[in-house]
Amino acid sequence: MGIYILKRIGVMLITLVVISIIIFFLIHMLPGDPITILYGKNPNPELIERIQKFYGLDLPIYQQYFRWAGNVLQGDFGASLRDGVPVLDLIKERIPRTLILCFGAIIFGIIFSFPAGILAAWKKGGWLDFSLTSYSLVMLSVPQFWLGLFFILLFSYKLGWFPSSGWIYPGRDFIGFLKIIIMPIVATGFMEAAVITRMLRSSMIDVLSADYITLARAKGNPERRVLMIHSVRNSLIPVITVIGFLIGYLLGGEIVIEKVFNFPGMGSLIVFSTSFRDYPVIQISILFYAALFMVINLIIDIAYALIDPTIRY
Amino acid sequence: MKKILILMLSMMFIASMMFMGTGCKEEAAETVEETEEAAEEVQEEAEEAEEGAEEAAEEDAGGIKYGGVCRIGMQSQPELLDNHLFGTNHVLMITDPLNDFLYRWNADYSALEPHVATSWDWNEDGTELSIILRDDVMFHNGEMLTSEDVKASFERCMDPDNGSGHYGFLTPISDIEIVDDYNMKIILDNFTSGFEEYLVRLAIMPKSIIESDPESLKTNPVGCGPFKFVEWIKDQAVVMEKFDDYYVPDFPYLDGLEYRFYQESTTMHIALENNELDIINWSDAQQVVDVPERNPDIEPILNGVSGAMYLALNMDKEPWKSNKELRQAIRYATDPSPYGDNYAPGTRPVLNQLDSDPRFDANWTWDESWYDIEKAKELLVEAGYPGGEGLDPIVAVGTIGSEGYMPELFQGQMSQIGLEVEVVVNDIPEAVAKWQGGEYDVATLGDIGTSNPGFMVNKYFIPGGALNWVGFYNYNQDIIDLYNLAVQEPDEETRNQMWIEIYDIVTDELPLIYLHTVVTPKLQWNYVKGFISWPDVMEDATHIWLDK
Repeated sequence: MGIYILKRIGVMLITLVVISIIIFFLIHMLPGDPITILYGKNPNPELIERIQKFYGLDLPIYQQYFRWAGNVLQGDFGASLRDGVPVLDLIKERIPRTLILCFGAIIFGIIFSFPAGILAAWKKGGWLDFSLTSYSLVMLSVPQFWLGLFFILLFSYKLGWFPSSGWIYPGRDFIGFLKIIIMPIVATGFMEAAVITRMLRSSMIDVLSADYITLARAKGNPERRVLMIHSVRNSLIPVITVIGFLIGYLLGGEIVIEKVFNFPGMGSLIVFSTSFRDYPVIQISILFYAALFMVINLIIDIAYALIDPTIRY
Repeated sequence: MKKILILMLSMMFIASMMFMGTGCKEEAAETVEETEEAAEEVQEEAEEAEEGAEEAAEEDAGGIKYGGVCRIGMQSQPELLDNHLFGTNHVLMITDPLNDFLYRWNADYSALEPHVATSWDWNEDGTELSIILRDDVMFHNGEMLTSEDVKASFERCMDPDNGSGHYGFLTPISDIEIVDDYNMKIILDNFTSGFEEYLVRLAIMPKSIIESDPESLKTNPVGCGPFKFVEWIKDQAVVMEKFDDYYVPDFPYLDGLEYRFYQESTTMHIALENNELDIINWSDAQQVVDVPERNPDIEPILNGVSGAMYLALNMDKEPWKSNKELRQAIRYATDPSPYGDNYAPGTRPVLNQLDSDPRFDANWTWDESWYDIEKAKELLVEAGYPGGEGLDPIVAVGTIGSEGYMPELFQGQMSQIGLEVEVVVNDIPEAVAKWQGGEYDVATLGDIGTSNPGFMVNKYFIPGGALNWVGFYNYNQDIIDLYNLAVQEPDEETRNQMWIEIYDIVTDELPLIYLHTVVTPKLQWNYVKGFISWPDVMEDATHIWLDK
């Protein structure tokens, strides 16, 4: 296992280098540059040249890459071209919010989907299965922005239960924080629940038709034990894979949810930075995500081994 | 049986969702018609509200309520909080309550009133501005303001290395002389019209910070205004609190101000109706009509702004540069009304920039005769492009956002005379890159007001104009000559006549095709008092008090 993990880390590092090259060149291909946007063509073109020189934007693109990569390897992630705030500070400010939204939505999804998926598989073909499957299909089909706006209109505007949007630091007002985070989490979590429900149902149906389940029933085990001990655990591998992908997807920033709920997460940071060609922020943010995604996948793979003793690396 | 029932219920649910969508579309179509009527009513109500507000302001002078925090919603957050280095009007808007200035416009924009400066006088030839400062102005860091701080603030903005947005306006300054702590002179190379008016935007900041740590002012502004900076929660809000040592006693009235930023307009308007906001300082055409209809306690504010939306032709490129008939053909094929309808209620068509400025009465009146398809077709023939034949597709470059509809409208209208238009809509950096690179035939743009026509002429008609940040200009030698005379003309009446002559040339030569006035539609709860919305997109939030 140890060697496997080391190998994976090695592959991760190589992948990160490749990703950094691709991202760097892609964003520099976009028309427009941040310095001209900030300072304009006038009043002083010499100033623009000087600033471009300061940031190395006048160098050939490959030199710019090596300069940037060298700085990153030395721990210098640069600063926003717009306001000079260190990129790491910007990410550190936003990543906890995105993590809260991401894991909150996943936990909501799991709480909602596990009973639903298990019941649907257990009562396959019945009205319960049909209802739950239809419900998850609807939740997959409904656009998230619509769901978000619907929640705001209903729970905030009509009922006045929750604030419509924004962010409150949990340390300042924990109850206020809970009130403001619940709608974005649920709006995001419904889609995750739908995906997990369908995957769990599908996986459990396969498992429930296996010979060892028939044997477990034949031995007189209670149905609950057959389901929860023998079936669910064996159905988890593909479900955990999907959850891993969902976490990676959500960590990328649920930009639609962030926009609707005015949630200041990583998604809005990346979109905003891209709009203004804030190269250091875009580069480090995407690299950060790539690394995080790979780490999560590694954890998922390790989790397989924990769940299924037959899996060994 | 159960399965059939569930299937039927599911189908009904899906069908109802579909019909809701259809119904919404039909309702939307009806709503558009109703909206147009409502827009006219809103305009009338806004005018009445404005009159009422003025009367109420007089009555309420003795009935002001102190306390509370006013929450102002905006759709764009600033790139930084440094008045000196502003790149967009949002920076000026948001930092305005934190800062103070030599003087400001009064509430009805008719005269300058003293602030940090108690008085100011020009010498005979208009080249020396003598300023006397107050001796009781404190910065938020506890330092007292002197003429050294004023000089340092000016010099910071005059330094081309700083890339200040004020730089272009300060180029006439040749020297700043300190007489003593509260007396100073600003010396100009020549008389420059409009110079004095511009200084209402230049904030005075502490010399100590300008010299030791100017970068900190981008995210931690220190001014001498009635509100003090508390924090900037990125993507969320800028929070300010009352500055207790402001030199005006019992002022400001509020305990604090919050500018809150919203990525999504719908969410922002719901927040207003939910009373999570008190003011939205830039609404949109639909919401500014719909919201007050739903909630009569929310009022629209539609101030007339001396600015205009326009189509700018690339005068560095043929055939636009030398084919006047072609430019005129475009003009006659352009109906400005749909542009205005899509922009905001209360806009009106204009012939040129000065047409939108209430200070000029030059008898310009846009009339129906300026939209004439048959005449446009005749002009196309004279231009050598009958029915658009022989003319390459016109590249119309605009930006995503509120002006995003303009290239499409232009495309639709030009098709009536046989002209093909290629619409290019980009985000701001890409669009600016195209404009600066000359990769366009028509740029769809707008300008948010002017306090001085000289600034607008410099921006659009003078090669290398200091204010021409987008890098395109539409120059004509007669305009350049008149401009150079006008900026140094001390007599206001003569100078105004020169601006009128310049715009007569513009109206004839048509390097720009003006469309309609710019208004900044705002919404506020009726308990908000004292919010001043000026032309030039500026506003004064410092006099707000909450009557609740």
